[in-house]
Amino acid sequence: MSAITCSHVDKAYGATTVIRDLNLSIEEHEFVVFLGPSGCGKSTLLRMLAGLEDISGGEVSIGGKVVNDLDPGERGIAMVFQNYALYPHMTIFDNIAFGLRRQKVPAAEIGKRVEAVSKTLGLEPYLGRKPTELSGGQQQRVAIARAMIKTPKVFLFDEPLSNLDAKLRNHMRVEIARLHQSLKTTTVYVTHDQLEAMTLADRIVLLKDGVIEQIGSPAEIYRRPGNMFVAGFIGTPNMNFIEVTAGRAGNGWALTGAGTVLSIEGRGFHLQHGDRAVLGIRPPDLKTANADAGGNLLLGAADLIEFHGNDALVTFGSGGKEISALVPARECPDLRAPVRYTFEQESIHLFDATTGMSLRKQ
Amino acid sequence: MRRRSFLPVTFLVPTLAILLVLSMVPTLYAIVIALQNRELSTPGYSWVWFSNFADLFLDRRFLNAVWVSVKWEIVTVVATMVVAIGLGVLMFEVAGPRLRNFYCLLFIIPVLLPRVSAAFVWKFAYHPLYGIATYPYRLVTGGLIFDPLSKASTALFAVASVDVWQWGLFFAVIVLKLLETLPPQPIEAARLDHARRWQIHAYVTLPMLKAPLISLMFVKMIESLRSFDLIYVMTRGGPGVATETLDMYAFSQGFIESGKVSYASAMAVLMMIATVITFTMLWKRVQA
Repeated sequence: MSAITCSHVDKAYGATTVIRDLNLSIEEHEFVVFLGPSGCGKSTLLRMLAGLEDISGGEVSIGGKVVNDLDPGERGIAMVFQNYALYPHMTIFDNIAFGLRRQKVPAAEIGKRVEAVSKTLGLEPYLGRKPTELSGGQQQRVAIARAMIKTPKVFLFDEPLSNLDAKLRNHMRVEIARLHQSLKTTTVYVTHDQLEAMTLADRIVLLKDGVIEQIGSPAEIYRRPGNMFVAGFIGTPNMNFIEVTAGRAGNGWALTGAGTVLSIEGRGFHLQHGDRAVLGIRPPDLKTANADAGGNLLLGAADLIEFHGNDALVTFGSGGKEISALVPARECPDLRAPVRYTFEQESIHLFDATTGMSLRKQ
Repeated sequence: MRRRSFLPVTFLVPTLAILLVLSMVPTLYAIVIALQNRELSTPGYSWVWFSNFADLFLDRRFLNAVWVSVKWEIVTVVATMVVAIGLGVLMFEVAGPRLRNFYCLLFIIPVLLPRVSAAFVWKFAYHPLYGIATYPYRLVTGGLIFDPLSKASTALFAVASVDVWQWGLFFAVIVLKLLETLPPQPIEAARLDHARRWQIHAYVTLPMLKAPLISLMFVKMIESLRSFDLIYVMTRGGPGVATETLDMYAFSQGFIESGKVSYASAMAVLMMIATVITFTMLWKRVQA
């Protein structure tokens, strides 16, 4: 039985539709990340699961029970907010214990459970303090403790790390991953940070304009993006897109574009002679080619070099098109020097130029 | 450097001078008079020092006035805060944005009315034969007379209700606006934490608003001290001395009944000292 099921879920504010006919099922113990650009409806969807937003149409069930009309408190969920949402006038202990007190749990048991939870999260020294006396990371840990103590069926995280600085964010991300490993509670996590999504998720749900673009494991989504939006959104630095025209060439195909002709076998793709397509290739998949190497080459002059430490991102113009290659720093060319890059055929992606859908055979 | 230090003084001195003249001169004069035995009926006077104050504590009517003042202060402040918080929370929970605006406008109107006008409006509303406020009683009992303003047990509450009508409704608007300024996330977190609607307010929103609510209460406490106009119009301290507050009694001792201005001044001075001490103590306690 799946932990959460959304069937034909809609959300509209007046005439504006935010989420359209969304179907999704989340398995028990799964860690699912809703990922997407700002305004894609990911937070709204999470808040609908939590019961903080009405569901305009369709059905949401949690643990096999339809929860459309249930109060947030009755859905067996706990939520961690972006800005912690702690009760500012209460001590950390009271913050964590608030939910249990409302459920009339005996005081002795509350004390025991708060102690256990705060031990897990290393909050014991702070129980008597007020939230403002804690750092951002500690406050978020209190928020997680407040969610954990209710032993919910489902954890909901709404961009929990966005307010933290980069270093703390890495640290908390690891803590959340560990926590999920030990608790195994079904988790839905909203973020716009693909690094968080890739590292935490069992499955990523990629949303755009209230519609699911692709669902899959991080590896699937990275390696086999279903369309150009997914391909462009996932992966840093961003994938290069080159508009090409496909033509038959012997047993394989010739892709003409960006001032060059690339020949591929193309067995993995649906191609027709004369098709306009978009070739996608990730910057790390471009390799420096030797001066005498043949095969598929992208040539140009280095316009911009961004030094990353181990690697350097080289941006060059090829046939009027800006292309980036991520190369080891020691292979980094001089600015304005001619560059030659090649790639393996397995690493390319092809998309339909009009629909943007992947041409890859399933 | 000299120019700089000169400018603030230029602006401050005239204002402070006027303030000093307007507030300190009458205060000091009242203290001086309180130590004499001036009466309006005779021009002569002599220094009696503290005998006016000693007399006050033997004056049963004065002690009654103290008690009435304390009652008035407690009743109006508590009722105003209860009405303000109750109505404010109710509007926050029930009314949509447009309805809220309408209620806010409606609830501000009473406080815009001059006190004397409000007092006259309600004096008539409480009229035993024609008043709209007593109409339901007449209707239910089949025409029995109920005159809240001339019964010793109800007069104070009837007058206090006008004060609460003016300030409670106005403060309800302020409480609503305060609730609207709160971040929504702690409220949502409380909903997820199994808190009922009233529990959210009792445990989360109102405690978060503790500081502004206490300030509001202080404003009302100071405002309640100035009850004179309302009581003067509605009951003149009556029936008997049932609604005779300190300022009312001082006024009637000084100007209406006996013209004992020194005696009245002594009362005013005592009131001033008591108020200053009480408020300082309360303020210190709240700050701590």
